Amino acid sequence: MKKIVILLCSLLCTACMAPEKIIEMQGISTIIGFDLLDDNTYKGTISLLQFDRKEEKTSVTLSADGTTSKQIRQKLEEQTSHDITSGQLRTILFNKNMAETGISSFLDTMQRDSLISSLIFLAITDNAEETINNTNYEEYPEMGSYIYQLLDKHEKKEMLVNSNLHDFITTQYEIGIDPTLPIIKNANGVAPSIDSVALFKEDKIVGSISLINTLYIKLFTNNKAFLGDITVEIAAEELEKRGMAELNLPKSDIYKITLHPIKYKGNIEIKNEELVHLNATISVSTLEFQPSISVKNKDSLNKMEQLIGEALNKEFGYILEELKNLNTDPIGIGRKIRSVRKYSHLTEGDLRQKYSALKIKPNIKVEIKRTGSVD
Amino acid sequence: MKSNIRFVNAFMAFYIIHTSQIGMGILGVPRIMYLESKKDAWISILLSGLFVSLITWLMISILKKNEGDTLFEIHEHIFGRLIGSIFNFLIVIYFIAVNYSITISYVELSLTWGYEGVYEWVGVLALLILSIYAVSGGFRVVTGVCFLSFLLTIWLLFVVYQPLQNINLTRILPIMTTTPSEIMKGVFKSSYTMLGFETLLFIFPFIKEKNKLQLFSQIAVWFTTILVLITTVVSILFFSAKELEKNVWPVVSMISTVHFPFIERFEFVAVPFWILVIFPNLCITLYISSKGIKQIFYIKQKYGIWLISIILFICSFLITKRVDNNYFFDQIGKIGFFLWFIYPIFLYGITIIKSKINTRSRRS
Repeated sequence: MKKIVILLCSLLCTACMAPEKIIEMQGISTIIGFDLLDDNTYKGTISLLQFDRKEEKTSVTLSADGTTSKQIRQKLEEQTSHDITSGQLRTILFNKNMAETGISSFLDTMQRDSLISSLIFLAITDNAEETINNTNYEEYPEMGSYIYQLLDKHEKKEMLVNSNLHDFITTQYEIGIDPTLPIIKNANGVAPSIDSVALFKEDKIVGSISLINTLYIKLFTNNKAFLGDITVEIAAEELEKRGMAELNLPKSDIYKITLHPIKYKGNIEIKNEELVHLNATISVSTLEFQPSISVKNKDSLNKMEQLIGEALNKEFGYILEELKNLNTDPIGIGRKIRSVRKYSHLTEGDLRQKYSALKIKPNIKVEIKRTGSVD
Repeated sequence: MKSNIRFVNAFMAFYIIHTSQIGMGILGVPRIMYLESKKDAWISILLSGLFVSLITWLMISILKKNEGDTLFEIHEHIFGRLIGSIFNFLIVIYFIAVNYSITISYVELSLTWGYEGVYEWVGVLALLILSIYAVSGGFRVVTGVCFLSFLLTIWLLFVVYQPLQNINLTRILPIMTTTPSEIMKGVFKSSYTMLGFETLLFIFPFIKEKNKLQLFSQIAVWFTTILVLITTVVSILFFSAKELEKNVWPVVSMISTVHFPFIERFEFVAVPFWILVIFPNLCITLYISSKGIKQIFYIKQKYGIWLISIILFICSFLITKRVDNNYFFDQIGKIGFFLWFIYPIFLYGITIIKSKINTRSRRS
């Protein structure tokens, strides 16, 4: 009796299953793109990675029309002898015109399907089908891997705000913060590249912001991201006005400085219902001065830090104005307002209304920590 | 004189109680608590932990007054053979239902994450055979299962480290915005997760150092409370409100953002691994219910085990839909609340009265 039980256990508990997934039979989809055709039909395009050694091509792209994403998938299955799996799906591209009407209905299936990872990237492009069919993808085996590497690198090392499925859904559902997604540019003859970052209002695209300027968003939303290098321009007369003439400045009308952030700390401070302070401190090392200046004494260093801070605040001010005009809040000021007891009853509508009338004061401080191997 | 082989050390009570508390409940508890007491779910959990700790103390007092009997024997002593047996029978049914709820919720989970299309009864059968094998070995084997399961699974706690990078503290602020009644509702709803400490009533005769039992069971109860607290707080900080309300297993969804260089989709490791977490639950509930059958019908425990297993197997054809399951777990949580949070208080009263009567009759 006992032996039979042990035998049954070892059969059932080792999860012995029918061999369903053989690698040669798998068409592993790495990217899927959606285009809006007309009212209710979408065109889906996927790139499949194939492991069949007999075939020369490592990838195949397929397209099909349908009304839901799973129907598209069903139709795609008709076109290939391989079994399409979405376990390695890394990126979902959306056509811009789809994003204008809202993409949240498409994300439902991505969340529901347990095979799809929640770390999958989302991106916006002008034409998803063309982007995936683009054949310039550097040394990668196919487009899906290339775009994944592109986005992954930019999220880890450069200036992309987190843009995976989990982050998008979380920020979209949350009251008082709006999501952002990268926009991928596709041109003939060159590999796709990141163009800018799309700003959303709920799940609809309303505008965009340049990749470099996302640093202002990251200062307050993410406390461990890479900010990317900051370049500021300071007019020569500004320097003279502050009494930095003793630096022995070389003659130039404009001074360009590139800084590399080392550490930063951002804090949204709610003063009252109408006034919000955005405080941030960035410690930087200087990478480049054009023309070359050396800042030696403490006094002029302080002045330099102040000047850079002012330049950043000025630019941030413009960006905030634009965000207010678009009525989108990627920084999450609304969320912070709601976390104060007095305002915790505010609804999404109230926050939106308040946001456009809100006075937001940027207050970025720069601290020059290192200057490289010269002064 | 009972032989020494039947006994286990008092510190084993920690593993038994803790592992029988932690099970399927913890995977879904953040959502269930959030639906009731919103941002202040953590207060509900702390209150619930306090409550459980008090009840545990009460249970040990009851047991000490009855000189090393299990609850089944206590019922017979207090109410007599017939009424006591009816009470015991209800308890046996409760444990069978708990066992079934754990089995079916795990099967449902594993069918969602990877084994779609497999019949429910296959999964149920696998778990049943496994637990029959363990329980047939007797109480010491069950204890061993609890101990091993604890050691093999406690490292899963450190997996929370990765989601911790993505949390936002403002999501839990401001604290104390929910009304006391909502917080109490949260306490009530937490019962399905916190239940399991009632095992104490049935393992008492097997513990060697009975005076140390209080300490170890309190440690177990508070350790569970802290684990549930951590998962709930991290889930609230990690998900936005609407997302948390939507996810059936927030903890698994949270784990799905964990990735290592060598394992990209960690949830597919965690879900099969969870079988180790629920295994002690299954063994203990099966053990207790078969023990009850033995007490009521005077048959060998072996037959009890097989009888219960057959009942469970047949049940696996009946309740299989998500909506039904939810209702079923809810009912078990409710019954469990009244049975193990409220009933011990009455039982304590009755034992005290009974012992007073006994001493008085002995005096006269």
